[in-house]
Amino acid sequence: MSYLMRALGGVLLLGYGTVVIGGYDFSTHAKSQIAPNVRQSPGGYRSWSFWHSGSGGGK
Amino acid sequence: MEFASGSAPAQICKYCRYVIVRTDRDMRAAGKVADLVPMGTPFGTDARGTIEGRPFRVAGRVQYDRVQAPGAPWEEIYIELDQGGWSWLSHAQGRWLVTSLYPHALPVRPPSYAEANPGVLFPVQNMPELGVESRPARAPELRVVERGQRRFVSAEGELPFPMVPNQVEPYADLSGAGGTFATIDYDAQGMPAALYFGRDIDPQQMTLSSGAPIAEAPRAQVTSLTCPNCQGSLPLRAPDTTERIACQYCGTLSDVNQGALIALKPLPLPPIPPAIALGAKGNLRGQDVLVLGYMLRSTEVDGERYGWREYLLYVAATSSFVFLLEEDGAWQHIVPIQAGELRQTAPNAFAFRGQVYQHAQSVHAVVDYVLGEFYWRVEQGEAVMAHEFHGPGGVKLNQESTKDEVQFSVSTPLGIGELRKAFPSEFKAPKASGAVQQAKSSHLFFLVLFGLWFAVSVVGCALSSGKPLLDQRIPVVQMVNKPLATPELAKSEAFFSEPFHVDGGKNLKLDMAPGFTCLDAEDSWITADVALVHMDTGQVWEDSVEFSDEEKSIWYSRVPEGQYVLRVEPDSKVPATCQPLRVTLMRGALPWGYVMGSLGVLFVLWIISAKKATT
Repeated sequence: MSYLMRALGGVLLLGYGTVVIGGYDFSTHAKSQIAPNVRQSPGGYRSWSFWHSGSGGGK
Repeated sequence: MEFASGSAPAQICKYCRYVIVRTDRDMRAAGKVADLVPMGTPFGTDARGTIEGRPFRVAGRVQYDRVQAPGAPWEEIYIELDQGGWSWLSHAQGRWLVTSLYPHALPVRPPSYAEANPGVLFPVQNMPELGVESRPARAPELRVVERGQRRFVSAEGELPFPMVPNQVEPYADLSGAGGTFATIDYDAQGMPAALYFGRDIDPQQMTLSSGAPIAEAPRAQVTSLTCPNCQGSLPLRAPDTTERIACQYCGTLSDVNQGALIALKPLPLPPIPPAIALGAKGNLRGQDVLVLGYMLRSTEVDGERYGWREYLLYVAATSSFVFLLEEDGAWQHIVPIQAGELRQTAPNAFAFRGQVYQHAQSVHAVVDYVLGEFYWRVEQGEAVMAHEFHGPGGVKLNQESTKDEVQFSVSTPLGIGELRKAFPSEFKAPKASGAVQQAKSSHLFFLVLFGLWFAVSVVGCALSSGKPLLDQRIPVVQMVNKPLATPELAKSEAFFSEPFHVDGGKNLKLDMAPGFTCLDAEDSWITADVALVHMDTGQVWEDSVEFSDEEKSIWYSRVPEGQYVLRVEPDSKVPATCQPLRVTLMRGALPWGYVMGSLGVLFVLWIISAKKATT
C-alpha cells in the first residue's frame, strides 16, 4: 500500500511537471477549421461563414 | 498392600506398579502404570510438612501428559491434611498451586467442554465458601484459559479416586482474580464431572519436615545435549522446563524427551541474528535472567508482512519466564499475567491493576523462525490471534488466543540503556528495520517529491512572467448593430483583435473580466462566444462563456507557434452604463488550480503512505 502511494505520488509529480513546464492543459474546446480559400481571401478569417454575425464589423 | 480404614480408595503397588482399587467386596487391578518420570520434586510420597501452618502428608503423586502434545508430563501431588480432607499440590512456571474438590451441587452449571472456549466466563459469586482451598468468592467470575485432554501415565502411593492407566480426561483450566483458579474435569460426553477450586500458595508458607527447601524452586542447570542432525553440542539451560530446542548451528528443531533430543525437522536459521546472545545472563529490572530462546514472528497487513523479534528469558529465582520484544529498534519487556487479574469493562477494553486498556489492533501472528530453548512446543508456522490493548504511559496489554488456549501479558517500554546495563557485553542494538525503515524511506521519498514539486513550481513561475500578448477592452453595450428601443437590451458585434504572434511550447490563458457594475441588476447577463484563430493554418478553438460576477479564464494547451487573432462576440442584457469587457491573453501562465490541487493530493498520499508504513 505504501509503495502504491509512492507510485501515485511519482505519477502525480510527473503530470504536474508536464502541465506546468510543458504548457499542457486538459481543458477541452470545440475545434474547427477555416478553409484555405476563405483564409487566404482579403479579410479572410473575418468573413468566414461560421461567424454568427457575418463579415461586418471590426474594432 | 494395606488399605487402612478411611484411607484412599486406590493405590499403586510399589512392586508391580499396578493400580489397585479397593471395592466393597475386594481389591482389583485396574492396569499397570509407567515408571515415574524424574521431576526432582521435594514432595516425595510419605513426606510430611505444613501448608500455612496446617500439617499434611504426601499420600501420592500422579503424572499426566497432554494428549495433543505428549512427551512433557507434569506432576500433581496428592496431599492428605491432618485436619481432614485432601488437595492437589502442583508447581507450574514459578507458581505453587493447591486445589480441592468442590463437593457440593453447583448453583451454576460450569461450561461444558464444547462451551469452554478460551475467554469464556464462569460466574461463581453465589457459590458458598468451602475452606481455605475452595474459595470461589475470592473472584466473582473465572475465565477459561485453556482447554485440553490429559492422559494419566504414572503415579506412586495412594490415589484419591480410582484411575485407569492411559485414560484420557478432558479438562478446562480457569483463572480468577486474587490468584484463584479452577479446573473442570469432564466425562466422556464432555459434561462437567468434577470441579476443583484452587489458589496460589506462597512457597514461604510451606515447610517440609525433612527441611528440604521449597521456596527455592529448582534452578536451571546447564547440561549439554547433542543435536541429532549436526551433532553440535547444545547446552540445555533450563532442563526442568524446556520442551523444544532449535539448534543454533543448523536450525534443526528437536523435542526434549527425558534428557534426549528427538529431531523433528530442519528449519532455516533466522535471517536476523539475535541482538542478545542465547545463553546470556543478566540482571534486568532486578531479576537475574537467562536468555533461552529467540523467535522471529510476523503478520500480514494489506498484503505486506511486518515482523518483530521476541526473546524468551528464564527467571531463575521463580522458575518463570518473561519475554523481550524488539520491533524497529524499540524494545518492550513482557511479563505474562493471569487472566483472572483482568476485568473486562467493555467489549473492547480490559481493566488491569486500576488502569483501563483499550483495544488498539488485532493481528494474525505467525512464528517464522526459532532458535534456542522453549518451554512449549514451538514450531515454525505456529499461529495465534494477537490482540493489543493500549493503556497509559505506553503500557500495553497483550492477548494471544488459539482455539484451546488464551494467554495474557503486559508489556512496558524498555530502553536501550536498560538492556546495555543488563547485558553489558552480550547486547548489540539492532538497526531499525521493518516498519520504521519503511516509514523512513516513505518520508524520504515524499520529501524528495515535495522538493521536486517546489522546484517545478518555481520554474513554472519563472516561465510565466512576461507581458500579456493581448490586453483589450471590448465594449458590451456600445457595440450594437442598431439602436434599440430598450437600451439595456444590447446585441453586440464581434470583436476581432489585431493579429499577434505566439511562440509555441507554452499554454495560453485568456482572462475575461466583465465591467464592475454590469451584472449588478437582477436580470442582467453577459455571454460571449470566443474563438482563437491560427491565421496560418485556419485552426480555430471555440468556447462559450457565461459570466457571473467573477472573472472567467480559458486555458489553451500548448498551441502551435504562429500568427493568431482572437474573436470575441459578446451578447448581453446589461445597463447602458456597463463598462467594457476586459480581455487579457497570457502565454505560459502558472495554472494555480493544478498547483494547489497537486500539492493537496501529494500531501494526502504522503499521509496515507506514512500511516501504512507504521501500521
